[in-house]
Amino acid sequence: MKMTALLSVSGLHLYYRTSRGPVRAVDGVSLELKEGETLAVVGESGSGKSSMAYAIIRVLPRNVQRYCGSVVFDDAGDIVSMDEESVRRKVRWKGISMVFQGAMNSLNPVVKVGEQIMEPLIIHLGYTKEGARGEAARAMVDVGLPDYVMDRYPHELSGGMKQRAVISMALVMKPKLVILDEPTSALDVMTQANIMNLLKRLKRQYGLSYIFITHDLALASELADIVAIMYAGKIVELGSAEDVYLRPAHPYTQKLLRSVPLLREDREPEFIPGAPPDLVDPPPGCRFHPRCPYAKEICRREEPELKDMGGEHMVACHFTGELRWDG
Amino acid sequence: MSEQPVGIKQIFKEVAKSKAGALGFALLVAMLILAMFTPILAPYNVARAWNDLRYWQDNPALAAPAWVRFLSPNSYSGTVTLSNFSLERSFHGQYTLVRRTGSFVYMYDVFPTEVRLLLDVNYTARKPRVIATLERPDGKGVTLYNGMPVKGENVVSVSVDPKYQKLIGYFLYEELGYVPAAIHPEIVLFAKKSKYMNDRQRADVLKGTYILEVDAISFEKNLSVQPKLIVYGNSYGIAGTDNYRRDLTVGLMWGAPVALAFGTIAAVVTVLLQVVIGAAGAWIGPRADEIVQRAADFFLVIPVLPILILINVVYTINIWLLLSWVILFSIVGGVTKISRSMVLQIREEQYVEAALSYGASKKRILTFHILPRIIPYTFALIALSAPSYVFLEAALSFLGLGDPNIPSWGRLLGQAFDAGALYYGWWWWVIFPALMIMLVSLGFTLLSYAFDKVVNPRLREE
Repeated sequence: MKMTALLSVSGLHLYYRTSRGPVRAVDGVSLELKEGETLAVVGESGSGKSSMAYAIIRVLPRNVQRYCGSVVFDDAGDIVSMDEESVRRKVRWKGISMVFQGAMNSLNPVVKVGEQIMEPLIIHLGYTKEGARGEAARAMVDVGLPDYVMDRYPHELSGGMKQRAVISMALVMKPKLVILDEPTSALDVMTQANIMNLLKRLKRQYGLSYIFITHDLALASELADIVAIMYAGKIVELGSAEDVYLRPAHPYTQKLLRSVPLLREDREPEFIPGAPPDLVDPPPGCRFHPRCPYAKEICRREEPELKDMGGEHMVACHFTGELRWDG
Repeated sequence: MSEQPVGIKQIFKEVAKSKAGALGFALLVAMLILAMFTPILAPYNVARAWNDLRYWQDNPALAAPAWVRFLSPNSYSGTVTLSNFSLERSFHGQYTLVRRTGSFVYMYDVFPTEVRLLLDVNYTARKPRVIATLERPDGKGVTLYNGMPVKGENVVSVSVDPKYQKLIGYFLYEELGYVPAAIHPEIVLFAKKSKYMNDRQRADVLKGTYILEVDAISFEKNLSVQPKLIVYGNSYGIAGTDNYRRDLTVGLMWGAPVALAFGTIAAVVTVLLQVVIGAAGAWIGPRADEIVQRAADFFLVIPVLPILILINVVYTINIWLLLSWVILFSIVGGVTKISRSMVLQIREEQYVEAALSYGASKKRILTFHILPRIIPYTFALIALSAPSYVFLEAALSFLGLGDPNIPSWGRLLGQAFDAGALYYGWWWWVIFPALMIMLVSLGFTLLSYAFDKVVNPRLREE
């Protein structure tokens, strides 16, 4: 059964202006997401994961230099070329909502949690405060928050509860796509597991699509249908979770997988030498070549294209298919 | 560390819990109670009479507060007013004689500062002759007045008027055999007989019962005379009097509502305006921000005081007009810059980004997310700027630019300064108004200190 794409991103660029020159945070990203699927975007800090999310929902910082490409969402059209008002009315929260990195900071400390959850309803659907209250209470039950939280201030909640509140805020308008930007990064492992279970349940319950941004490969594997590995503003490998985890084809993905410590196997975790490249002045050719053990002359000169290895498993490497993966 | 308080109620609770906050609240509440009771204890018509010098003539001039008598009973005296007189009317042929007699006891250790006799005389056509004689405890009689008063109230300034001093001179001549160059009736009348009886330093006070006898003789039968003798002391009331005999207590009391109303209204209105305008400017965008900030710079450097003086020259001013001008000159200013700097920080917060992402309008974010963050600091800023407006009102009044109709602390200080109060040692005239200004400022300052501690997490006590 072939489903139509809910979100299709192509050639998305987002550059930031700095005193040193443009930072190429997102540099030509293309991907597609079908309804009900979860895309996990995995990468190191500063690889442009969050920037990509901002570019998709079009919440841009003031110092944007270049924002182009196309982001076609559902039947709303191209978000990149739409005017601000239509984005606000058609896309934001009705179509795509977002859970920002660090739930602690996503709630205004001086406004009651319930009121913040009600906000999107009041703004978009013209609810009265009383009407929004009922709707918000339902959204809070969905994420397992007791109803007294409604009249609490954020500092009176635990980290996990805050995260739930932020998630319920993202779900209150029943969007089709939720972007989760490291939703569990500041939580302890137990709470993390609870939140992940919550996200899975909500996905089943409402048929949600997620874009799940994380640096944690293991965590991504719990939720992901498709995985995109990002490196220095580009997607280096994109494919079904099965393909990427079991048959990683890009040396960066392979290295990443080998850096994860395993419980049942006696294997030393490896690390990737060097540091992520400077996005103002990225290395020529393949951006990973300075850290790549297989780098050849061509890697320094030519930038590899994303090539389909079959079964929609896309890899950007000159030596696709030549590198052995033994798990 | 306790959590940062949110919600206005909780902030006020926290402030009241701290020592400084409680003391500040207590001071301001005391001032507020004083201000509320002022119209009852000293009605507005009393304050309106501030500029009517006749209203205060029963008070001694430049008297220290009455309570200093307890501290130093040997050097302070109170005012003795004699207004109860017996009436004796007799007819001698064509003449009618009206005799009014009254007595008082003088037991103070110091001489009075002044003696004044008031004669309220009524007749049909022909003036009566009136003779007033003071009989001393030692049996000697002194004529205070011998003349033909006009209809109505006659003021016989026994101490000041040379005409009446001369009568005392006759008495002195009888007693001492000579008349000194300068006669001090208020001393002579109340001194034991000695050659120093005209010398305040060396004479002794003659204590005992004094009798005032006022005789009026006229051809008319329906003659009436109502005397009143005032022997002024050198202490009066709670806060003393000024050189125009005005009761400083009334002035001090009326200063409280004036200072509180002016300081509070000016502080609340200007700080709120400045906070909102500064925040809106920074939030709307760089151009609006630039305009607001340059306007703030402009208003910060223009000299408000000289301009207010100029306005005062052109327009007749009252306290509300003055308040309006002050507010007009503080639409933007220092607080604008503070609120701007806070918005620059808050606008980078994730929840603002989140609000943008869920489609909140800029106006909505300003009112829902940004202003509630600044409001707690606004309380501290209001409390902090209130004293400066209290001072401004005092400074303007000191310069004679305040509301001329009602007394204020600054005005009292200004008049004290003009009269040379500090040079002559009239301390009560300076200390009490200054103390009131200080107490109000202290109250506001302690409050702002407490607010600052509550709303500024870095200053919070662990």
